[in-house]
Amino acid sequence: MKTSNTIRMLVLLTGCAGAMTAAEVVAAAAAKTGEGVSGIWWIEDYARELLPPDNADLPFTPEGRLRYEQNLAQLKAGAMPDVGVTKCLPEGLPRTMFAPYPLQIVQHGNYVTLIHEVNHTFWSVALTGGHPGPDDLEPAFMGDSIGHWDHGMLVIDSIGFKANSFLDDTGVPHGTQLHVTTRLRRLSHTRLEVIATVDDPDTFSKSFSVRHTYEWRPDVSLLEYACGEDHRVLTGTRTKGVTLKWPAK
Amino acid sequence: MAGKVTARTGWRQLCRGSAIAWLSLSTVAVAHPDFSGVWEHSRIPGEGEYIDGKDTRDLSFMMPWVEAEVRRREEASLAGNPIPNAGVLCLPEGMPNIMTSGHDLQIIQTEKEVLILAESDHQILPVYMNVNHPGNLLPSWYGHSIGRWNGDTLVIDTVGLNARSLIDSTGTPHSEALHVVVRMRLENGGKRIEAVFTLEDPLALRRPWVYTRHFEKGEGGAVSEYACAENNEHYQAK
Repeated sequence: MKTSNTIRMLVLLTGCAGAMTAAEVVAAAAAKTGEGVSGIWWIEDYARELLPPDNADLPFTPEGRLRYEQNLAQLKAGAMPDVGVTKCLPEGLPRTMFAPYPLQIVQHGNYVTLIHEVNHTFWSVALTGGHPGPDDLEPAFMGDSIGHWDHGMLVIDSIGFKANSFLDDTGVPHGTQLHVTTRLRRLSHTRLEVIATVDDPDTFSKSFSVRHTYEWRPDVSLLEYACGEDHRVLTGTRTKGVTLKWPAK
Repeated sequence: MAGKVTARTGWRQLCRGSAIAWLSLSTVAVAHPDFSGVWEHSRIPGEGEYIDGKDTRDLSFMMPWVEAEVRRREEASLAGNPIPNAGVLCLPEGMPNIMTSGHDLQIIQTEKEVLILAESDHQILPVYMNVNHPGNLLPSWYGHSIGRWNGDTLVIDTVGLNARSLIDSTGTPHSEALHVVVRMRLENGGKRIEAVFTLEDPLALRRPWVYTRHFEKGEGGAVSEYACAENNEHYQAK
């Protein structure tokens, strides 16, 4: 009995070797088992600034534009610190999501946790329950996030932000009413799409969305990120076929 | 052609199904204790962030230069001018202090990794399961941690630490030769972790330093955001 099973398996494997590639086998299994968005990902199209579709201008309110222009001038003059860089404070959303460093997404229990190499920031997304009420909502750089799955797409709803972070690496401001909806979808086994929709009546006249894509990088481990120190490859494994992408900071 | 089943497409479908079944079976996790969740320090007397027993303790297990540094920090503290430790300065706490500095921990457990997330300054300690340490490791704040299961005990082994981190909140220094082993097991029906730390450092310790910490299962599924540099402006201004 054991022998006949072994022979059947050998026949199957021999035939399969010609019919499917290894990648196809993995992809087929992944599609069936609903692999979600887990894995280590690295942004493919990093940009310092938020770029809505067709490179449209951000829909600033007059006050929002004024604050952005003040930020630009003060950052350039060194009169205002970018605390995400100078103190390595969490860079908020969507800036952290669009950073030029890898991130690891782990689906576990009723949570999805996004672990970002930049400023060793982790972003916890609860898949059950709702946001706390206004009196219980503790403002945080990464906000309060709840998520749900919509046909294989992870939709994350984030509110409750501190107002002293920027939305991007150039210094786009926001207020405490910021509401970010982040949609993550696996385009294929090896590519992830993330669309962040930003809504902030203190700064913008209407909501807008920014899209980036990410490459699946199972060959990469997140590096230790120590504030103010060189970002180093500790084991040498990161350098194999990988160009380190340094932040434009 | 769509939908037409030929010998080749039929064979591909059979292969696809077989591959899925095989991969599904192969990814069924062996039942290990589940450390997932938020954990708070038990606050058991003698298990604090600092070395206890100020006047009576025996620090002869430390090399003289290590004991001298501990005494120096203690005297400064008693004189009302404490020397800041890593947690106060928002520096990486390193291993094992990331686990013992008094803040909550969150553990995420997968087959390949056990991720220890520290609420304290959102620090992350990845533990890679069932692999070896790389041979060409450069010293770093958190070093390189590997894990394996010994029955119901999770054994975490850390090497490759730099000499800048401090062993504990007292400020005990160590060398790059520090080797940390943590043996963790669940107690009290899974509501408590017993973690036995064994520290060996031939340049800083005369013999292995063994101590135990306990953690109680906390409320909620994730630790809160605590950004250190935001909250200690007064220290930075000094």
